[in-house]
Amino acid sequence: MRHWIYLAWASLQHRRSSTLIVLVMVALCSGILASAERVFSAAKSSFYSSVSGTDLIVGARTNDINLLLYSVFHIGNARNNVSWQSLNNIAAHKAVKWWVPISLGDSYRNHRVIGTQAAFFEHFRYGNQSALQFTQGRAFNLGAQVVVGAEVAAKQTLSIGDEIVLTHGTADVDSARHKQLTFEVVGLLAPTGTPLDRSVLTDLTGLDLVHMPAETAVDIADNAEALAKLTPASVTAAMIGLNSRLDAFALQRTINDFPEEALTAVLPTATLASLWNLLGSVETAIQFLGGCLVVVSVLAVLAVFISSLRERRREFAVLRANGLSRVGLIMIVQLEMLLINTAAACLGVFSSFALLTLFAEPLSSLTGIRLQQMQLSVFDLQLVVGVSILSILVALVPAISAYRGHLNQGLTPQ
Amino acid sequence: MIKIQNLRFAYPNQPPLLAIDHWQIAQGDSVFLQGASGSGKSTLLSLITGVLQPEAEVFNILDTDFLACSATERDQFRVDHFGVIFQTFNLLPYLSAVENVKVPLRFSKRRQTRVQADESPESLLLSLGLSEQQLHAKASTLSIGQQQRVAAARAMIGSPEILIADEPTSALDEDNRQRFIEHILSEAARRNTTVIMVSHDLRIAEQFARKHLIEEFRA
Repeated sequence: MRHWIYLAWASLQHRRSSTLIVLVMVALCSGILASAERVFSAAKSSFYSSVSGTDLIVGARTNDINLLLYSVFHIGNARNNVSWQSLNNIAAHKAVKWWVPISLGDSYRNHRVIGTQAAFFEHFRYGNQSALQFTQGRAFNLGAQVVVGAEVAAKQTLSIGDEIVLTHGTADVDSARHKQLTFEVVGLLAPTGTPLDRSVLTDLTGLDLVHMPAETAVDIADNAEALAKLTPASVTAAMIGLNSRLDAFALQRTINDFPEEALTAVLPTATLASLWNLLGSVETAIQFLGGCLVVVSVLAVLAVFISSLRERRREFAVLRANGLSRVGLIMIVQLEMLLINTAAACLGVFSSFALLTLFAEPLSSLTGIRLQQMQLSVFDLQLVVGVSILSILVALVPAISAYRGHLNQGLTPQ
Repeated sequence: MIKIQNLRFAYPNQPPLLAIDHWQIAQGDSVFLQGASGSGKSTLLSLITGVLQPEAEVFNILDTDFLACSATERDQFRVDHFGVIFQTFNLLPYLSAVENVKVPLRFSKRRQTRVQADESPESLLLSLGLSEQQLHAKASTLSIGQQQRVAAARAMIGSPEILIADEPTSALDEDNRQRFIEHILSEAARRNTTVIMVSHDLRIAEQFARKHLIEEFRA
């Protein structure tokens, strides 16, 4: 075996340029497949981690996925709101442990503004039950204060004490700005990898102020007592935590059958799963294309090997005349292809790993996909093993043909 | 010693090529086989070295019944007991001269143990006129004459009992040719090695003890 490896390695080195070309080709294709898989699974985990610890989300009657899209991912808009009265009725249910309202519809320079309550910071969880962390400052009080997500703070270079103007609606149009009132930045959130990074959070009363006549708003903005008396007529949705998760289905049914108002309640985890399933075929398609690339590259190595057999007939004859066995001849061809393909697959996987680790930050701010805490995955291992097995299978073609060719020519090369 | 009786050989789906009624070569003999290319010389060498398998009544090489050997056994037998020199392109271009000489030793423990203290691959090559520098140069950088000498060293190392040479001098000029043959024959005599050389070149035949025409063995 040692001698076979020695000879295979020496022969590969001799054919360095063609070996390197096919090696780079297989490495590139393996790297593309590994990267696609890595980005996709990072996207999946940041998707699934966008909300956790919330047992139900309640909104006006709509379909489950739509409710999840606008309440958690801030994609699209709610057609109807939920009345404050109904929410308070639901909140009185004995199964409910906590709840926070969410009011959407305004923006700050294309970043969504979420109207909620300070309790949001206490209850909201993402990822693996992580709580929100402030890099600076604190939660907002009633009135014209905001907490901004990590990405908003970075893009708009906001810091504690800055004053910002919110815009009505989600388009950044000058005339729509609520200019009568400025909001003070009181807190900066640490990055979470969720849509919150791109959001501005304020108290519901802050949003109320924005929609009041300017003089009234300025009058009561600093009046805590008056602020406390403000109650919204309705909000977009609410997040609910339960005492026991087992009550989720029962309460969901109760809410869906709510007599006074047409409402929808969704279990976020289940709805996230069904939403991701919609994207599942995209994942399969990308994996399939990547897999095809890898197979084609290994076949290219095969082609190079088959075409080199003719010029290597003398080499094999010399080896056979000097003691290389039949098995040895097959093994040398096998080893050469295996060395190229396996080394290339490893190279591809590691460079994909290195490049994505190196560019995790820019990629994250560009796409919102967080690639931190990356490690080599089972898929990487499967890829390397798969390429190796494929190599062994297809290398039988040149190996057997080298063996046959040798038998036909006898001892001496012709 | 090699002993053949009633040997017949034909390639699949082709007319019979070789037919040897009786042929015996004693250990240490030097045999010259003359014949034009395509006359069956190479086939005969393939049979003797066990690459091809004939039909025969008796086919003994060094008292081993070749007819009873498996292909794998014949492969091992070949490297243990045969040294082979081709017409040209004898060397693996990606190995140095020394590494080329060592190839049979990689595959044959027997020859490894038979390498004398004073005939290391290096000293063997130096005695054949290669320079210290050329020992470790890639084989592809050597001249044709030097390559044939490296091939001769490889065929001799570990003193196999039989040396097979297939037109080893046809790529050499007159001067080199004589010296090459003389060197091989004197080395073989010193080691009591049987030499079987095929060539179409009668000028070198006279140095051999026995001469045959390949036509004697044609079917």
